[in-house]
Amino acid sequence: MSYVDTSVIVLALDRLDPRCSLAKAALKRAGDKVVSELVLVELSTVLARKSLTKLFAEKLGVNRRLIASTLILYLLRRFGLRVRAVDGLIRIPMLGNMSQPMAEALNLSERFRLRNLYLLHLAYVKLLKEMGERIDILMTADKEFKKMAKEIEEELGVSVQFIG
Amino acid sequence: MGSRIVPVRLDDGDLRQVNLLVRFGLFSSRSEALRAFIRLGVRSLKDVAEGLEKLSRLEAEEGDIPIRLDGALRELLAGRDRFT
Repeated sequence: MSYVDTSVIVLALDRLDPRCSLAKAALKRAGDKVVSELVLVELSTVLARKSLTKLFAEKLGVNRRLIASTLILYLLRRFGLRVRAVDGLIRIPMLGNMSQPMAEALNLSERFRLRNLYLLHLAYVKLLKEMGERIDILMTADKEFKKMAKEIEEELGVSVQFIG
Repeated sequence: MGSRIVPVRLDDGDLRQVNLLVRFGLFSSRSEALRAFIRLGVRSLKDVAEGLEKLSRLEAEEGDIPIRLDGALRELLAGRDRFT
């Protein structure tokens, strides 16, 4: 099963990038694919920054409040992606309660020394695996994950599939 | 407008809430309560359902996914790099 990073979905829709068709083919080829809440947030940000939420709200006649969800639902269905949420809090000594992905990112920070969003994606991969998702591939178009492929494999038991 | 019977399985918690609303007289029966809730849900998601249908139609017309994110990958990756 693959955890699909936002970068692959964005690449599959970025027709100016020569790897666009590679991303589409990889998404089509892969079997079971899961994404996290973080992917949804990153996608909605990209859609809004490209003014697509405004454009499609008018084009489709969908309320501005619902348009990001509508576009994301379409893309999830189109690429056969399944969303799995992670909820619950973890008590960190002296720091108090923290959401699980945040707490896990905090734990992984020393091992990976990556920027926040990368750590959060890795935290989601680890937590989803612990929740029973049989993730063995992290599909990405981001070189930062590729650079850390060995460490990711060792720590999380997941191989990095770089599209590019 | 015609109507059909649709069997629905509810979990205990939801059913308890429905029973409570019926007991307090907000609805005359569980069926009436469920009809009202479904109507509300369908109405609130009507736009989304129609939007999804229109997107499918656009894709069929254009022969490709109608959501284009030209140049967005570079921006996404640059944004990640700015994020601490």
